[in-house]
Amino acid sequence: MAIIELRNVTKIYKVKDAPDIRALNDVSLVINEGDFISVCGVSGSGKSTLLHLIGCLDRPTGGSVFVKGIDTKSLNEKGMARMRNNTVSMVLQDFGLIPTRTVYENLEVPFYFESDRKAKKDKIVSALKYVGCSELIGRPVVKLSGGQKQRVAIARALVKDSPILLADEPTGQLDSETKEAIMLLFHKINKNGKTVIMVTHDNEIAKETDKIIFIRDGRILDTIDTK
Amino acid sequence: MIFRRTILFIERKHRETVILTVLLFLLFSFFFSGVVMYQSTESYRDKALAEIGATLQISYLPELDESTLDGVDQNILSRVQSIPHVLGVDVAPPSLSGSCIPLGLKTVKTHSGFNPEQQPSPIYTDEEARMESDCVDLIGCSAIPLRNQFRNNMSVISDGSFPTNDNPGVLISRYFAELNSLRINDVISLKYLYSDASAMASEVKIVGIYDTTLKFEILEENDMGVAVYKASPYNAVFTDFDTASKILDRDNTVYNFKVYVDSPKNLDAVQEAVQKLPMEWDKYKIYNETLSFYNEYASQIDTVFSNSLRLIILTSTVGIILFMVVYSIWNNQRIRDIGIFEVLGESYIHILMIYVFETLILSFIAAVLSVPTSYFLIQFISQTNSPEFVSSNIINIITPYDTGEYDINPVYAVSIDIKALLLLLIFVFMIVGITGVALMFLLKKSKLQEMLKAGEES
Repeated sequence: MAIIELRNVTKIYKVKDAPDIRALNDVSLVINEGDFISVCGVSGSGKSTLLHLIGCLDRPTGGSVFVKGIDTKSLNEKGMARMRNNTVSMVLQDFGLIPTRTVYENLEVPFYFESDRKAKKDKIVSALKYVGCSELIGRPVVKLSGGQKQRVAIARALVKDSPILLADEPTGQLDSETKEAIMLLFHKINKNGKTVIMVTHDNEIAKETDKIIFIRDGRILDTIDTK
Repeated sequence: MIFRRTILFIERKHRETVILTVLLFLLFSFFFSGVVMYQSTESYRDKALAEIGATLQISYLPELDESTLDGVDQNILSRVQSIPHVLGVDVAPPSLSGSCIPLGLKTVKTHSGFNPEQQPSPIYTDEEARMESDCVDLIGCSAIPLRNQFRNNMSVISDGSFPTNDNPGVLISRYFAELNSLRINDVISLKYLYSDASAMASEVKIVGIYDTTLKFEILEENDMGVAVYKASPYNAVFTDFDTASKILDRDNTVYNFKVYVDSPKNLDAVQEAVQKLPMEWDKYKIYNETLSFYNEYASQIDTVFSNSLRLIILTSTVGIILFMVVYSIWNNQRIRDIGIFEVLGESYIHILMIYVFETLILSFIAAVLSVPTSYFLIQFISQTNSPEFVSSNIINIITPYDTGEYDINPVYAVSIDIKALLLLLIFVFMIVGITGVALMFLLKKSKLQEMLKAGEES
């Protein structure tokens, strides 16, 4: 069952005193519930733009993006924020953690509307346990290693139990051993029913996902099933 | 939750938070000082100038004698009173006064300084001094409220009213009243010290009691001996012109009078109007008695007034620009944080709220600190303007003006009142509002992807 659908999506960035940039050009794509997909391509190919459109961080210039059956173009600012808060979670390229705060405080950020303190704490503890970082709960982020930061960033993406997890170059800053561990974690998340979409330029990492979408100059070149 | 989130933002950048708070603190301190001084000067200006007073003295020529004069007609005095800008007319200058024995009553001997019993009294014989020391000083006057001590509020009516020809009686000090258990409407007997032995004492009703902040200090060079007690401000008894004439057994014909005018700039107009009245102008002359330092003092108040205004405008303009520049730099550095918050599901309006709340917290801390600081700042400015700064407390700074002739105290009081605090609060909200609008523009023009790429790496 399709959880994400792109229909003839075009994204054009207007640049002052320069020609417009066509980041995505007539892209159509269907992603089913429970898929584990990687999007590959060189820098400037449009893979991050694709991720941002799916992640409700931006709206397409043309065409439609459906997330869980909702056309993102129909959502207002608040609706987009709600989608990001409850439906699509994102792991940012450089983790996107607040370094001066503790792990717990970083995981608290998505709970803006949560009034039940105990429920919030239970969810944070459970997410950290899931990614294997329970012992880091009170530690300042600045004192964590790269691998630990990535786990915490993933825990933060999982803490609201969103059905879709997006990851932008999640292994880009990690050594090979840590990369493996993080990929195992993504597999575990996917096996537990979440749809995982990651952007990477590392073909070896991409091969570990169920499907690879190759993108170049804003168009989908090829789609490969690795299974 | 919004408070916790805001604190989280503030803690993100310690140095910038401190810089912003200090900037706000300086801005509010100067602004508040300016407002307080401006307001105080504005409210005290007219009052202070009225305290100094602009006066015309109409006196008969020095070579003449009262016996050769008919006196000033009551109708003339009424017409003078009705001239525009005339505050009042005193028909008994210098004063229709004299020592009176308050029969059966004690006089106030409270004082500071030297003991008059141990001082020589070359002017008075011991007997005269003893008699004077138990006397009150009866002052007959048709314009008691315009006398210095009442004009500058050093003495204030606390019970009853001022005696007038229509409300005859005496006005006594609270010290004298309490010493003798006297109340309003009580009747006392006064006898002029130098009247004939057979003369009867006059019975007068107490129509008013005044409180006074005047101090009575006896100096070492006192040459009146114990008679000095009669000069005590606590033993002054004010009465209307007619009553004084009766007690002192003096002619109640008016020979001289003093005209109090609201401002020196109106003196010429008043003088012209007075001169048009049908008086024996070949026997009378008008003297301008306005104190010489009036204009100097007015100019000093105007300087404080305009400097305060400059302080408000300058600090507000420079402060707001400087604050906005620093705030913009800081926001550009934090733009990635905003991006992260947006990615995690914060809406544009919530982020705006967090930022506005953050500025509100910093502004309130700065504003609270600025109030006591302004007190010292005003003190410094006042000291620079007027080195005769003498007394202060947390809500009032009294700056007397030393004229060289005598001290007017208080003439310029700086008060931190509720109105000034309210203006500071409005200014705080204005700053918060400006930062909110600035942030709104920043959020509108920034694309989320760019925000995530901006700033530092985690």
